[in-house]
Amino acid sequence: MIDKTKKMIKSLFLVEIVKGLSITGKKLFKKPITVQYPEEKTPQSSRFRGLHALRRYPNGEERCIGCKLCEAVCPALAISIDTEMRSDGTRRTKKYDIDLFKCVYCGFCEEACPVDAIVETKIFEFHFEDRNEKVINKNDLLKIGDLYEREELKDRKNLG
Amino acid sequence: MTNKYTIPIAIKNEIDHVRAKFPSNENKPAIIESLLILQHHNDGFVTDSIMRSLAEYLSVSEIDVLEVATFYTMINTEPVGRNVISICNNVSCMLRGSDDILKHVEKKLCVKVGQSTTDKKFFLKDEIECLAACNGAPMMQINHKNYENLTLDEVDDILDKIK
Amino acid sequence: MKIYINNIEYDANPDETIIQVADRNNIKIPRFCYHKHLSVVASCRMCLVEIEGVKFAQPACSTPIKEDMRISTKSSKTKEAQKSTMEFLLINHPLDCPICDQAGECELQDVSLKHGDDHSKYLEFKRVVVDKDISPLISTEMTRCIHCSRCVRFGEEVAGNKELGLINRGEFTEIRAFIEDGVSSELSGNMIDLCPVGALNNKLYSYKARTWDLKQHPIISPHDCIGSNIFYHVYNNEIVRAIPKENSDINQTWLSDRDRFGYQGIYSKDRCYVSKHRKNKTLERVDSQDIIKKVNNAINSSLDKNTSSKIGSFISAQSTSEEMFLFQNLLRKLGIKNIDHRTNERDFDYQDTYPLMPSLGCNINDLSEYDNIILIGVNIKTEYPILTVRLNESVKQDTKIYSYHYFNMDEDFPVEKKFVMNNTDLLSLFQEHTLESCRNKKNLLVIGPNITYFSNQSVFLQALDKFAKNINSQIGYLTDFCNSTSGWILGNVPHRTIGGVKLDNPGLNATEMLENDLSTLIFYNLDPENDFHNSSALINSLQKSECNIFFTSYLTPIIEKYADYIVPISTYAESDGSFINIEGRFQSFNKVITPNSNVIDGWRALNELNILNNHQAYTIESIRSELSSTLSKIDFTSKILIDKKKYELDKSTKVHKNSLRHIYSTDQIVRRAKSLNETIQANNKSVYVSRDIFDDSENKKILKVVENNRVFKIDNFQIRDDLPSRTIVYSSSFNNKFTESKSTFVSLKK
Repeated sequence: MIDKTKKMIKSLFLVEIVKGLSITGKKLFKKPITVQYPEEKTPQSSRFRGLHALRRYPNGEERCIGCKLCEAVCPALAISIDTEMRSDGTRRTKKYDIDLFKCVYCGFCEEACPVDAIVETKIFEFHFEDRNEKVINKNDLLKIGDLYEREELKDRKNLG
Repeated sequence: MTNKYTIPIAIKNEIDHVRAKFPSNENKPAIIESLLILQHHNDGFVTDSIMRSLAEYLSVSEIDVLEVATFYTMINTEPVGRNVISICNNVSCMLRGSDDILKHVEKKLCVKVGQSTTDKKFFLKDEIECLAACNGAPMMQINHKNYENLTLDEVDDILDKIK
Repeated sequence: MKIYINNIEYDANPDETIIQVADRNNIKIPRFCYHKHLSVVASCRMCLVEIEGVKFAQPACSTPIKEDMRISTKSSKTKEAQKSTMEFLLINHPLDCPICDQAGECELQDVSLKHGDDHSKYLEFKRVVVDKDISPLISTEMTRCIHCSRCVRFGEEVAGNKELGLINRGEFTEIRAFIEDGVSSELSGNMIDLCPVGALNNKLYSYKARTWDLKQHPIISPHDCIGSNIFYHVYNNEIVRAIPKENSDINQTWLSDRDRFGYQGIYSKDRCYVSKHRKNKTLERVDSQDIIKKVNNAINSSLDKNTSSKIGSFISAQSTSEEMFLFQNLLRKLGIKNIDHRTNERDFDYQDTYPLMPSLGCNINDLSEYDNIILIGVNIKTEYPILTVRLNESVKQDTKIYSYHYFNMDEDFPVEKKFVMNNTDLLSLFQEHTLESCRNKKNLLVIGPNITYFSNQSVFLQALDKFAKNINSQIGYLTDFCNSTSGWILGNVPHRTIGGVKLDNPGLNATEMLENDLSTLIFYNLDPENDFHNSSALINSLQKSECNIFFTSYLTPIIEKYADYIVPISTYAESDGSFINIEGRFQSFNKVITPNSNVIDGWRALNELNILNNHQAYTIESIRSELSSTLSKIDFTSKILIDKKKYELDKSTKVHKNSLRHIYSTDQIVRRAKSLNETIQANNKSVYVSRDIFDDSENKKILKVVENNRVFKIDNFQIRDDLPSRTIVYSSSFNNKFTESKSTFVSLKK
């Protein structure tokens, strides 16, 4: 009986709606959390996994030794590598392609790499105008690596 | 490529004598003693061409000879000094002060164990085991001759006398 | 005898070791130095197992079993022992698995994952060993070596030629060849398989792929008549390496270098990828769909113009059995009888009384049962390297080996006695010869392919028949190509049809075809530069004939100059096929790689020609069933049946000129294998002259040889004292450069 009366009063005075609107009302006077992308951007974790890059050693030598562990570990089979013996007798890749449509950005390649050559940078904004461009080759990967090496080092420092 | 070495008849006879000690179809056991003989006649070391000739003479493979020659420290594959000094450092000699003698000789000749002097006069041999003269410890052997109950002064005398 | 492993009872023979019983029953014991075909050294200590009642863990490879022995491969003591051993082995092993070609199939990796610890107590510097360049086939990374000494024992015990050794001792131990020598064994590639780590590796495969990328395809070796079983490893439709496929009847776990690296010839630069047809004296490209029709028209128009006896056809004995079957099927149905596969031979008088096909006369496994093996004109080391392993085994079981040859050749097994004589002396020797030590024993006379090149082959075979009867010996043959047996049995000879059935009106043999000015010549899978006994006779008949049809995988200068039709056909690995080895073993294999789209499968090309002529069409299965029904009727143990024709002994005083089969020039594929031809043993490319015919004192640098009224000048020759008198021997890799026929009489010009 008492419960029924309480329910009637609640529905008569729209208590639930007032409660709900009070939250909306409070937010009206607070600083909004919406980010005005692309003018504004959210902060990224040092662990963010975005576009791939191939790194170099400080002396300019590419790190990748063509061990193909990233290719083997890739769950989406996005990486394809061909290796050869370079003229100085070292093991190097002659082809290092990543299909960015297949890639699921899981970061396994990064983890498998014994020489920290393949990394996922914080870049997450990229587009293609031609479908063929979805396959990114070794040269492009190295270029990205060169451009973002400093950030990469900073991220690694943050991770300790 | 080094020139071919011909084993002299006299040494061949010595090697044949060694070979006769072993079963007729087994030539490998004769390698070690043959190498010692050849080394003795070649200023204390054997060269590649000597090893090749020995392998041919004993009809074993060349690598067999090289294996033996590099395994044992008593066979030298590089030129060494004319006079071979062996200072015993086994228990008896060690207790009677062979370490001091060794250090003294090293200092006097300016070489370390296993090295030859620059004028190729002396060779201080490495890894010397007991030379069966414990009664005269400490002792050393130079060119197969024993010098026993040594003191540092005596060592100086002995080394100075040797040409 | 009974022993217990992990508390389960197993039967065992008294002379076995623990590891043998365990291997037989699929109980895994880790090991590095133990190999079933090599002697036991127990140097790696990885196979330590606990034995009840024995204080310390014992090596399973060298501990003989005892009645009621109780062994544990899983106890904590065993595991502790194995873990400690593993830690020691890894102390000096570099952590370069990512760039090591062995990774993924590395025994050290596998064992350390399963039995090793995840950390090492060793923090000091690791040792580094300088790499050696030991061979163009084997790459080395000696820092990785764990000194199991398998490669050393292989050289000593199996290959019979110890070239690698363990040098120095303790910390400084390393595997090395003598001073600056490399490895020159014809079986050296097996060290790559034996090496449990990445210290010895395949140079051709270096950094090409990872082991997990590869697809494995079984195939049969096309380089010798032994028929070794091989696995080809394929990456992106390219053969990247070969490993032996274990077959205890043939090659066991071994493979000769020729079989292992010969596939390089498939990727030769002179591969023929385009169909061509000669129009107005220039070769023009033809669509690959049309070439078969054009060839068919050419053959049929030639048949219309001339009689079928004006058409000659040659097929290589390296072709597959399917190709041989279809080839003779096509030609015989068209009425063409002039078919031959014996292009290297010259004298065919023997052919009517020859056995149905050349055969070793026994199984390869049974070679050790013979008391004496007598080799006639064959050098096992260079011609049949894989047999070196078998003969080494035989010698250990007291088989004596005798050798008769016109050249003093090294062998990697002990030879009881060598007879080095020139052809005439050999021939007169065999007439009377009784090898006393072989009387009343089990003997096998093995006739090598060099004898078949002789211009008086028939006389030789007759004399050998007599010799064999004198010493009561069986006769066996070794043939020069992998599938000569098929050539005989599948009717690719002019006087017999399929199954060895005799023909009443035989066609022309290889020599007669070249001498008889035929109007149309068909060549299947042949290299005209090297595969013919007499190359100038061949060129002569190519010039005279109206139409030359070449089915070929390679474009050679002669083909480009004289061919009217070129059909690019597949090599052995690019099509399904079968070979019959010298024991009579029929072995089939499937396509390993897909060739360039313009290349036509050999058997399909022939099948299409069959269809165009309204003959029966075949599939690979129907050919194989037809072949096996033919083969099932044949007795493979048939013996030599030379009849008693009288032959005159050639007593001329001319000089004998013989070829010496160059190890890597035996067939058209291996001839093009680049790396094999860079090895030390391939350097043997000289002309050898016996001292008695060349006067050194005149100090002449040029030898003038007159052959068939043509003068050949040889400037690069060696005078050898160990050659028999009146002999010139040249390496077959020289063929066609200064000489006309493979084996003949010549005279010298002052």
